[in-house]
Amino acid sequence: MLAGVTAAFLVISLISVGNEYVSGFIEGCIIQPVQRLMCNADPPPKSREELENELSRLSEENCRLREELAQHYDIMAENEELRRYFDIKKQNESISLIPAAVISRDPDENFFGFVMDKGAFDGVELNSPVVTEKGLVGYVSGVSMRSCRVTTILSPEAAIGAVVKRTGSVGVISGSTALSDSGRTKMTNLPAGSGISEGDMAVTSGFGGMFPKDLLIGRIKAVYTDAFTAMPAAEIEPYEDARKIQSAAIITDFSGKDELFTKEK
Amino acid sequence: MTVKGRIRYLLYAFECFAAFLLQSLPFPALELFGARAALVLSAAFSIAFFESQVTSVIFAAMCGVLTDISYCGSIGFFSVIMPAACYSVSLLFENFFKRNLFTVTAAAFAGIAAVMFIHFFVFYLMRGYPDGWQFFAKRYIMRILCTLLAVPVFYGMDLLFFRIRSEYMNG
Repeated sequence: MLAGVTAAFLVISLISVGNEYVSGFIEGCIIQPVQRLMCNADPPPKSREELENELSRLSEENCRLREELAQHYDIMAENEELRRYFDIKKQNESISLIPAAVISRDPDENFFGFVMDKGAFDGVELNSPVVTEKGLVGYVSGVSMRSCRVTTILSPEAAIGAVVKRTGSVGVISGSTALSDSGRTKMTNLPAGSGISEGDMAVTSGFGGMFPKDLLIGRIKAVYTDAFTAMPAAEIEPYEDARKIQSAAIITDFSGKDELFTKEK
Repeated sequence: MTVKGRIRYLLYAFECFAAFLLQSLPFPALELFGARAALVLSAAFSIAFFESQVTSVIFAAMCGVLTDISYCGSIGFFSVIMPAACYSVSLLFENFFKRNLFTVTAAAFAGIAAVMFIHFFVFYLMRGYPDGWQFFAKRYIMRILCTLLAVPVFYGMDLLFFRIRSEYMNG
């Protein structure tokens, strides 16, 4: 028997020398299955105490990983939000932004004001500008600990220093009851003969230190003479529709903030 | 009154809170031609149709405070105006009117219109904004109608609570 096996082994060895098919067959069909069997062989059974320890360790690890995953998702969402405002930050490096979500809208609010989920605890202050990647939306007009109320640029209460980029004409952006329904606002106090025309871009002037300079506001849709002041005025179509936004960023700091107030002091 | 009879207060509170959450949704839901219904007002009036003055005033005050403080404001307009309006409605229905869908809708319309008009006066006219009546016609009338549309829904719910209470009280 032994002699037979040895002879067969010798014959196979002689045949397989230099023959990849035979050696491959032997390796694949005989050696590897045995190796796999050895590797997969069950380890000696664990005691109940060991199993309980392992279970509690795995449970803890599972908990920790779940928390890490939740944090990971939070960070991913925050990154995504911050990426939206990267361009604003690139234009003005001194700006500090906090992304925030709109959490409620007041049905009794006449000019589309809303409440956001960041408040005094997050560093939001009264009059902080609110922007999206498209442009200015409004400013914070009320702050509580964990939320803030935003007055939009569609409100007549807003008075934002603005400049027409092409001509350099300075004016004031303030909402109008007649235009707010169509999501538009107006620019008043423009100097006579300012030469502004339809399609010109309006940005914040930065005067007064309430808003940073050069934040996009909107495009001029029509130029007319104000009936009360007899000065040129313009109808502005904001780049961002404040009536529909779901999230925005609050500018908490920028260079030149509160400039006017500091000088007065 | 049994504990089961009092469960309606819990249901009322839940109703008011749900109305508040629905009316303040951040996305444009429950809107009609750009106007949003003040659901809290509808809920408070519906409660006033069935309950005594004290209960009506308590729930109206709860709704008013909720509305006032939730928009980072201080306790003010709604906390004062809603209890007063609901007290009047409750008093009228206890002494003068028989409760049915017609009287309820008419009373709700009058109440909602009164509250909205006072709101318009305080938050629009007194602030000196121009084109007052044009704005009232454009915004407030639609808001009044939207709010009125919600009244039958809350009335139906409160009628159900009222019948449950009556069944318990009658054994």
